[in-house]
Amino acid sequence: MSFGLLRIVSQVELSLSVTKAALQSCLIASLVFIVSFSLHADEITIDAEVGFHGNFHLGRPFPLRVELSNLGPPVEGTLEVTVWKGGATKGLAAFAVYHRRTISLAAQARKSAWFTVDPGSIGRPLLVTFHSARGSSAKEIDLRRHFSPAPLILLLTASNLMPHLPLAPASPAPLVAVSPEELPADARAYGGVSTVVFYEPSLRDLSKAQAGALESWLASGGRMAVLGSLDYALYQEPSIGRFLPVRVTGLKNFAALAAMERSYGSKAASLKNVTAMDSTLLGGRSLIEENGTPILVERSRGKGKILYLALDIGRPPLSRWEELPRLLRDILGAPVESRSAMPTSWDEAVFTQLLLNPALLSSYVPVGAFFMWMVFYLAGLGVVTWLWQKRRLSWRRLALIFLSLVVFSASGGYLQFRQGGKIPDGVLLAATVLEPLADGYVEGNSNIAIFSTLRRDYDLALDGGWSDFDPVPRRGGRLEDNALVALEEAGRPSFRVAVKEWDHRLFRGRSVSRFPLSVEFDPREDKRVLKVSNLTAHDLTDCWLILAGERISLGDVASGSTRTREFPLANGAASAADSRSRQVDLRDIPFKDKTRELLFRASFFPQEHGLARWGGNAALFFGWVKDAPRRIRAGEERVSTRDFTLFRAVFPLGEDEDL
Amino acid sequence: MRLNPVFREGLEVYLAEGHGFAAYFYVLILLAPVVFLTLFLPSLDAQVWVGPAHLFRVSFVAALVLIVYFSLRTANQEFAPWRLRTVKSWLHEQGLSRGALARGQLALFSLQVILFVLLCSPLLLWAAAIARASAAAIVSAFLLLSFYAFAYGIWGLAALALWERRFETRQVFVRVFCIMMVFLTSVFYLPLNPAAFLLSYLGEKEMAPLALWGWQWAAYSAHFTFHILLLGAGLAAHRWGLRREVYW
Repeated sequence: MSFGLLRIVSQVELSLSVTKAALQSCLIASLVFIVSFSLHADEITIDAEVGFHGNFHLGRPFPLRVELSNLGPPVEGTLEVTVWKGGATKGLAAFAVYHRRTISLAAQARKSAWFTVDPGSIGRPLLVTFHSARGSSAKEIDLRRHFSPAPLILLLTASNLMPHLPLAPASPAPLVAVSPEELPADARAYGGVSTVVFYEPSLRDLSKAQAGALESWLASGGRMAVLGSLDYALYQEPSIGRFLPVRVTGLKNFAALAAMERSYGSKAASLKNVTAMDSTLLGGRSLIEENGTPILVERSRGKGKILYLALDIGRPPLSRWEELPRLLRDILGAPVESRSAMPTSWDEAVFTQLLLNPALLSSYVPVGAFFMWMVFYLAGLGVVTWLWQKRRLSWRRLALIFLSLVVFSASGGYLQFRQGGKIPDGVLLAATVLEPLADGYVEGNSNIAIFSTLRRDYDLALDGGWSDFDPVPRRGGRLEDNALVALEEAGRPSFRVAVKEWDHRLFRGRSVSRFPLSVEFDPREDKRVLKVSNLTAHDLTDCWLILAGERISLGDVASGSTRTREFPLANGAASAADSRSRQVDLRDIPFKDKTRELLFRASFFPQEHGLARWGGNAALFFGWVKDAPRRIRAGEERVSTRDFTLFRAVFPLGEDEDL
Repeated sequence: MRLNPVFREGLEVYLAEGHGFAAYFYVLILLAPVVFLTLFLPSLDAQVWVGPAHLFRVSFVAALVLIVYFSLRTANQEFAPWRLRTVKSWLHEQGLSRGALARGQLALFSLQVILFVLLCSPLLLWAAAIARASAAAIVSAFLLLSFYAFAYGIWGLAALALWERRFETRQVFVRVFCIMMVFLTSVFYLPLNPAAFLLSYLGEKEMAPLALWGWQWAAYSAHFTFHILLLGAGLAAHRWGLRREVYW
């Protein structure tokens, strides 16, 4: 008995010790797991630099450089920057834009990634996270310490050191010295930059994407100031030569600068024995010239401007010249207004009108096929009824014919509409207004919509030249309705948009590109002459001129052709004044394509912006670009694309030139 | 196999002689334009309307209303009533049992519902394909359509059994029944309304639960319990009407 009791007690003790050991090992294992997990997460550190050396212009896009350091084994993951837009101050629900990039990090390595971000406010911090199979690391960035109310001036030098240039007193904007490798490869990142100043730059290592971005920004209203140096060879490199309005040939010594004296008064007389870069003019306008050598040259590039100064302001005697801040102020100038004077309208109401327009409706709804199937089915039922009335067939046969008709119609129509019924997954609509700039450039303001018949994601890829691309948030929409993912892969920006079935998302964009279509309007004393030279690869169709209260149809201007039309003036000053007071209702202008008509009235010349009635103070020319080049792609066969591009040019007449 | 005489008479009158064709014609001629016009006609609120997005739901709701209404009328013998024998005649002159009569009437009613759904099915399937509806949604929509046709249409048979000799009373009853059901369900608890339920279900929208004496019922349970009770009550009323005819 006692032996049995002892045995039971020892068994209980044994089972207790086994349980204790198991619990201990579980505890140790979980501790090891927790510690190792946090260690793995800590192995990735995130460092970020906001804007250009910690500066950005408030309310404009800016670059964000994120540096990942991996202290552990190789890892692959997604780097994500969460930016908040909208918010109560803008009368919209806040929504997130996620910038994502896939990153592979070798062991004990560092990697940098560039993003272009455009937060709606600086109140909410940016959130940078790195997600991998080993865990997540995150860092919040407070933007409040980095913003500038004025646009930035970038100084590009071969070294990253701020040289002793007296640029700061010339402009209230913050001056940031950057090296060429710090220049962004996305034109949108220059949104908060007013001027890029080149001084002894070496652009040899500038990538194609960086040069393209710089050129796009310049054409869309940027300002570039190229300041001369005694190290003239740097300015002979092809990489900088593409921006220069001159060809630099060497150095030239001037005993005095008489032309500078004429522009800047007697104080320029102190400039003696000045060495300047010698050059020949390639284009643009020489503002100051000394003995045939261009000293200060201005050249337009699209909406932007390039200024070239042959003098070295970093070295005496110019660096000590008291009028140097004034000269630099003239060179740096005021920032260009980037927005169009005639804004287009783009919202839910406009797009819904377009959706219901039969011309567009037929691209996503098979109305014709549906009607044919309906006629076939009803006619088939009519035949069955006729056969029944004639009583030629047995009941069984009639029932079989009826059932066959129902089954065939139902399944045939279903399969056609489901698979081959020309119903696309989505419709990408781009409506663009092109407005001429200098040197054959045009500025395009694009209104974009992606409409989906299915719940799915669409990747919108942007071609080069875009300076802005923003979603149009839906008022009262939920957070996920307006959310957007910006994919920063392969150096080309693209956006992943989730769209619900039978729903749409709207965007606005701005781009500048070459489009050699020139329209000249010559208001002479007795007549007015309009000359349209279409050197593009695209026909201009349905052209109109609105002049002095009249609308004149001009027909088409074929690719490669030039058309000139003369319009005699009515007699007398009174009639001229009368014609100025007359207005043309643009909504009365008919177009063959109803979608064009709708876009023209509701979006391009909207009534709410006072553009529906055109006054006589300015002449307006417009025409539709046939098969205009695509700037945005959804990149799939199942997405139908519709492009509508209108070219318009405005010519102020008389004294009242404001539009 | 011998066909039920009531069912055989119905086949003869409605299909062989064509007296039922009018009902089928009305259903199709009303449904076809609704489906077709829904594709592209704008509504009053242009901000939210995308025709094809609602095509599936609108088509099924239109079909529901039409099928329920015409099932009620057909079951109530509103088409060619002079060609059909009365219940009294079947029971007392033809010597048919009450059960056989009920089975015959129910079989004929079921055939009418199937024919209505069959006739509408091509239009509804096309609408579903254009609206990119899932197969599960299509199948459940067809099942719901048939279920409602039975749950409401059975009251046409009940009216026939209760007031066979009072044709006007029956006519008024089925119409008032339809209108009152729509009105009462809309006023007291919208998810009980079949059209509202179908719209919510196919639109994947949440429906508010039914709160009664501190108890909360899920909208789905409340809806189906109500309609199963309605169907049961209709069957009971039909049975009671026939029994009353036997003893009177």
